[in-house]
Amino acid sequence: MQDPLIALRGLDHSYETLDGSQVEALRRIDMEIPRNQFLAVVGPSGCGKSTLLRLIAGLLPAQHGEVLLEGRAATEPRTDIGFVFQSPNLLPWLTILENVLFPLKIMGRMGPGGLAAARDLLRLAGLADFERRMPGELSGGMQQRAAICRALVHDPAVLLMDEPFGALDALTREEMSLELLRIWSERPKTVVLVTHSISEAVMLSDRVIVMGPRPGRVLADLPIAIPRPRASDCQYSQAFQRATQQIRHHIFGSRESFHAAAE
Amino acid sequence: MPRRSKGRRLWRMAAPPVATFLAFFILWDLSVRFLKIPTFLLPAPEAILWATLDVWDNVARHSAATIGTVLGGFLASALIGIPIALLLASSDLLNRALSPLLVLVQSVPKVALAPILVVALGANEVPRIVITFLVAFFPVIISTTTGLLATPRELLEFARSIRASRAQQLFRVQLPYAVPYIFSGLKVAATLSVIGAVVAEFVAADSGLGYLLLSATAFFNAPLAFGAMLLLSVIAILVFQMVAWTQRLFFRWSVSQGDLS
Repeated sequence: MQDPLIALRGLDHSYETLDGSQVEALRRIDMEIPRNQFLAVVGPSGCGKSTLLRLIAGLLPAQHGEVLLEGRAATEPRTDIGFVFQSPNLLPWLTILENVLFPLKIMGRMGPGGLAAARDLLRLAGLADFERRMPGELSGGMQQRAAICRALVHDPAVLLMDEPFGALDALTREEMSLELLRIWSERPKTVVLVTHSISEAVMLSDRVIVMGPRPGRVLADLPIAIPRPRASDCQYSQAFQRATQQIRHHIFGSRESFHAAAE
Repeated sequence: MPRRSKGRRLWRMAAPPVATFLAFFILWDLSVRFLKIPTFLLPAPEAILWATLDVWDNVARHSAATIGTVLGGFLASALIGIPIALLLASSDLLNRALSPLLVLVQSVPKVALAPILVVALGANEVPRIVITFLVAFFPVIISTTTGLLATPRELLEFARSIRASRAQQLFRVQLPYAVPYIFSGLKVAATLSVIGAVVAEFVAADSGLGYLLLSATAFFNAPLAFGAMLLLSVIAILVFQMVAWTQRLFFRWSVSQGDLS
C-alpha cells in the first residue's frame, strides 16, 4: 500500500472550559487517510470532529500524539490545505472573484495563472456570471460555493470541510452535495468532510468514520462501496440503504440497547 | 422616463426635511412678531439674516478660520486615533498599558485644559487644533478598537489557515472589517470637532466663529451672535455629511440601510 497522505497517531486532545474543568475532546485517535480518498466524519455534536479537523489543518497544535502530512508533522497551517468553514466566511468588502483570489494574494502566489485558476473554479461552480458581485448580494448556497472555490484556488492536496452545508436549507444542501461531488470528480483531492448528515456522508464518500462523544473517539470505520460516478438516485440503491443503516446503528445502537436493557 | 422618476424620488426624499425646516423658521418668525419678544433675547430669523449679511466679508473670514480648525482637529483625530486603535487591538499588553492613560486624557475637562494649552503652545493655531483633537479623538479610538476586535473568530481562523502573517491578519482582515465601526466613530468625531473648535476659540483666538459669537454678545449684537451659532451648526452638518459621503463613495459595501446620514 502507498504511504498515507494524512496519518494521525495516538491523538489526544482536551481543553479547559471557562469554569476551569477539563473536557476530553478526543481520545486516542489513530487514522490513516490515503491520497485522493473522500473521507466523511460523522457524529453527534460534541464528539470532537471539528477539533479533529482543526488539528489536521494545523490550526490547533497537537497536545498528545501527532498529525503527519506526507510523513511530516503538521504543527502550523500549511499551504497544501484548503479549509471550508460552516459559514461561507467571505470577506464582505471584496468581490466574489477577489475573495477567491485572496489566498493567492496572501501567499504571494498571484501569478498570471492565478486569475485563470480562480475563473476556472468559479465556472466549475456555476458562478462565472457573479464574479463581480459582492458576497452580500448572493444567496447562502452561492456564497458557500464561492467559499469552496476559495479553498481550492491554490490547488491544495487536501480539502478540509467543517459542516460546509450545515447552515443551508435541506434542498440547497442536497444540491450542494451533488455540486461538490461533481467538482471533486473533476479535480480529485483528499477530502475530509465533517458532517452530521448520514446520507450526505454516504452519498459523497469512499469511507465513513463514525465518532462518539465524551470523550470523542472512533466508533466505526466503514468503507462505502457504492460505485462511482454517483448521482442523487443512488440513494435508493441497496448499498446506500445498508450503509446508512450501519452508521445509524453505530451512532444510536448503544442507546437503543440501553433502552432494551431497561425494559 | 427613468430620469424624471429619479428626480421625483429625490424630491420625495427631500420634501419632508425641507418642510420641517420651513415650518420651524415660520413658527419662529411668527412667535417673535406676535409675542413681541425683545431682539436681545431672541431675534427674528430675518434680523439674523440681515445682521449676518451686513458684515459678510467679516463672517466669511471667521468661518474660514473655524473650518480650518475643525478640519485640522478632525483629521488629527482620525490620523492619530486609528493607528492608536490598531496598536490597542494588536497586543493585549499594549491595550492594558495604554487604556488607562487614554481614559485619563478623555476624562480631563477640555474647557479647563484649554487655557493651560495656550500658555504651553503659544497663541496661534496649534493649541486650537490640539484642543479640537482632544475633544474629538476618543470615539474614533473606541469604535475602531471595537471593530478590530469584533472580527469573527472563523474569519481569523480562515486567515490563519492560509498562513496570513499577524500583520496581514490585522491590515487585510481586521482593519477592513472595522470600516463601518471606524465611520461611526468618525461621524461622532465630526460633530465633536466643531464643539472643540468653538471651545478653543472662546479661550484663545482673534478669529473664528466662536470668537465672533463671543464679541457679538459682548456688544449686545444678538442677531449676529445667533448668525454665528447657526453657521456653526451648518459647518457641523457639512463635516458630518462629508464623512457620510466619503463612506458611501469609497466603502459602499459598508453602508447599511439604517445608517444616519
